Amino acid sequence: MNSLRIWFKKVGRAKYISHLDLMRSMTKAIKRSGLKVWYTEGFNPHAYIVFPLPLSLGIESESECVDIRVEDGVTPWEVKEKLFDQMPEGLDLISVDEPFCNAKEIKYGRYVVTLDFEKETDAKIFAELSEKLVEEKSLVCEKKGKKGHKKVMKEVPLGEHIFNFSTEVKENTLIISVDLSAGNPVNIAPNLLIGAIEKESRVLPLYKKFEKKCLLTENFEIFR
Amino acid sequence: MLSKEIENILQYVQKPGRYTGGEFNSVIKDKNKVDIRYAFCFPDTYEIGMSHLGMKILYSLVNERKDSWCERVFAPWTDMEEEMRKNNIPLYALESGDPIKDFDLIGFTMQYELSYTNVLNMLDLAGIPIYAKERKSLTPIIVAGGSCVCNAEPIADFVDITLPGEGEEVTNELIDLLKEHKKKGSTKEEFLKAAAQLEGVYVPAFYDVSYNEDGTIKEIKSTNGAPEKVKKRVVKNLDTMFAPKEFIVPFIEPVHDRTVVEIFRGCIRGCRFCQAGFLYRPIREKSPEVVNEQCKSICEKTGYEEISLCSLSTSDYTGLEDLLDRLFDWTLDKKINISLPSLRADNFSSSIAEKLAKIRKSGLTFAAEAGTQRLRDVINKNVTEEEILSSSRKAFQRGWTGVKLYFMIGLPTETDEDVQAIAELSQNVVNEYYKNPDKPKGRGVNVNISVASFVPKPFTPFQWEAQDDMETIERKQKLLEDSVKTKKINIGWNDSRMSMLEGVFARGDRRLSQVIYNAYKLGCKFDSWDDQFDFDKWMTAFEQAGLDPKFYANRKRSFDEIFPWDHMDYGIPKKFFEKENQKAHEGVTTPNCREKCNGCSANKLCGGECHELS
Ligand code: SF4
Ligand code: SF4
Repeated sequence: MNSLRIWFKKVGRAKYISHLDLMRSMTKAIKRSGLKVWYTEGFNPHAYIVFPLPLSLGIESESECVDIRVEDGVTPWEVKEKLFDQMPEGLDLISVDEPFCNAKEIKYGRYVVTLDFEKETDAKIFAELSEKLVEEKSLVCEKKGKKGHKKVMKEVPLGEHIFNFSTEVKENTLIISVDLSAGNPVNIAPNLLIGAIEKESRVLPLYKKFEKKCLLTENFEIFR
Repeated sequence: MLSKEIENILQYVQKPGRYTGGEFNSVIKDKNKVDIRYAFCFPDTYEIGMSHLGMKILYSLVNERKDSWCERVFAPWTDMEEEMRKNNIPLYALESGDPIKDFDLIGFTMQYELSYTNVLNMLDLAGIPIYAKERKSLTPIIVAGGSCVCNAEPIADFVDITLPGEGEEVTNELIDLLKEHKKKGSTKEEFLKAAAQLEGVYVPAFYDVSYNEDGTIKEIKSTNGAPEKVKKRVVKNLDTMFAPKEFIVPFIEPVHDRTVVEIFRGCIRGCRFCQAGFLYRPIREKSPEVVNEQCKSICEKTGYEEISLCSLSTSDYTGLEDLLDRLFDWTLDKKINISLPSLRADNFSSSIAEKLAKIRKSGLTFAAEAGTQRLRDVINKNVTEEEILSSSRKAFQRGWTGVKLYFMIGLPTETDEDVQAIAELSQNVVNEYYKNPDKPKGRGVNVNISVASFVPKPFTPFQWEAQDDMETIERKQKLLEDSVKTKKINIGWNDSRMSMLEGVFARGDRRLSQVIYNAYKLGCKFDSWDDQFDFDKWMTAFEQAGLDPKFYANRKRSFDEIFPWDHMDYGIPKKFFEKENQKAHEGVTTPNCREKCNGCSANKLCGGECHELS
């Protein structure tokens, strides 16, 4: 039995597939591929698949990954070959490798956020405001959390979780690049950051696009 | 591809996966290379619509054609509707994201009467005039199919065409015809006149209905050369009939997420309350070889790990054992489960039971329908209490700990004793469990009884009967509730108000179009959803139209009354139903079609005798 890491994109309308649905979709894709994968034991056996880090709904990604276990002798090349055509639209298979890092090593996510405004001045106002707020380390976001068994909204200060923040205005579009804490114990999705800035701003973007570029480890090295 | 506007609002709604499309096996074509664009609309949520086999069949069937592109449309939930209206986004098809108002054919499948307001709301959301007469151009043509259109009169003002019967063949003919008329540049009327000549096509606008003073129908006259009687369409051979080789694999979980293959159409039993049993006569079986191949293909192309064999009464399938053997040959290895819905209690044979034991335990259901033998004879449900008890006993011995029983209240000739007997029968099933010496330790039994209110339907022997009014139903529900003495029995009801409305529209005439329109205007939608249903608005809608729901639901008709659906021909003459109705009141049963042909004439639809068809 071998562990393999499948890398794929999640772009276009596929960004609206929830994590649970993505798991079910991958399970079916693997089933269709006819690959000899390892099944969990028990009453209702199913293919073993694990996502090192779930992606929030609505965020596109250039590099998502999922780990599967295959029977001995199944090569990464064979997995890629057989799985390629079974991936739904927007979930494009990039590569299949043996896992290099452990999921625990995930520390940050690298994102690009594209915001369209009505006019260029608005984009600039928003850019300046966000630079200032990030500098001050004063941003706070609301995050769903659990208190015992109850679901509650928790306030999370963002100051310690924002890295390499930069902005660029092109006409009425603002492009933000940022690394945010990811994985355990704190996972900050970019829409939380933008939401927190929006609360402080008098101009708001018309369209928002969130893209994840990659995951990073401790030293801002790419998670593989 | 979805537009930026659509993608943007999706971040504000629940379950955006309902509205994105892009699922595996969904069909993308070049819109410039097709002649006909078909929007297949299901007037309920994505999760319900995507579980519907009829939609999967027609989707594949139309997309098999190079000249046509079929896309899917579902009723957006209220949060999405709000966002769409706020942002001026018209109803769009999931595959292309294009507004459906520019499509050629817009087909609605009508599975239950309480989805009528959703049809109107969807048309409005699409920016399409709701009344057929206000749509002057050739396209879009609004078509409706499904079991409700055996009496399409309540929606007669809104749809251009209905397709009584089975849609596989007539859909292709309709597309061919529309393509031809688009090329010729015909008017809508020219096209509809030609369409009305196809077998299995009904054009409501071509029929004039006049009424007597008492509100009953005086006469239905065909105009524009449309046939006096519209014959339902029947597919003669199920083995050669089109069937999908693959299904779309939804991202979000539909109600049923599995491979479904039909094993036969029609039913050999003539339960007198059952519309489906009569609408889909005569019985036609698909051979086990063909079913097996279709199951295999769909499983391979979807990755589904469950197969459901679909029919009205699975255990009447003559090839069941053969089929199960074939399926087990490859499914066991692939860890694919098989489920058999609609198993009857009375022929749950032990060799089949043994085969079923290999399959994961799914729920076990028995349709008893009535509590006493007398009433079961009236409705021609040929199952005895002893059969139900012995089947339960066998099931309990095999390790089942739960059983679901289906009943109805409000059946013709029903007395309070009949209602109370439902509780007794259920109690006897509970007792069977405790009589079993090998019952699992420490585990109790669960007997769930689902008690529907009987709704008289067209094309059944009970089409003349009065439906119990809401007060009577509620009294009987209370009576039954009080008769159940143990917590091991759980009762599930229908909302008596929904059943009443269902009854009104099932046997209604075309004057009810006004009521549906009023209700829609008052904001009614998703009427079969408890949290959306607004009965008071419906009552206002009736008042505004000056119509009394009791006239439609609670009135017993005489045998010589002209029904709103009398110009529909489903192959079984009214006389046959009349005879069955009389036998019902005498408590005389009718043998099933395999024991003896009772001369309902449905065999003529396929030519030959029924026993030759299966
Ligand atoms: S067995 Fe009776 S209730 Fe069931 S489908 Fe056949 S006729 Fe209808
Ligand atoms: S013609 Fe006879 S066998 Fe055929 S469906 Fe009618 S009653 Fe049954």
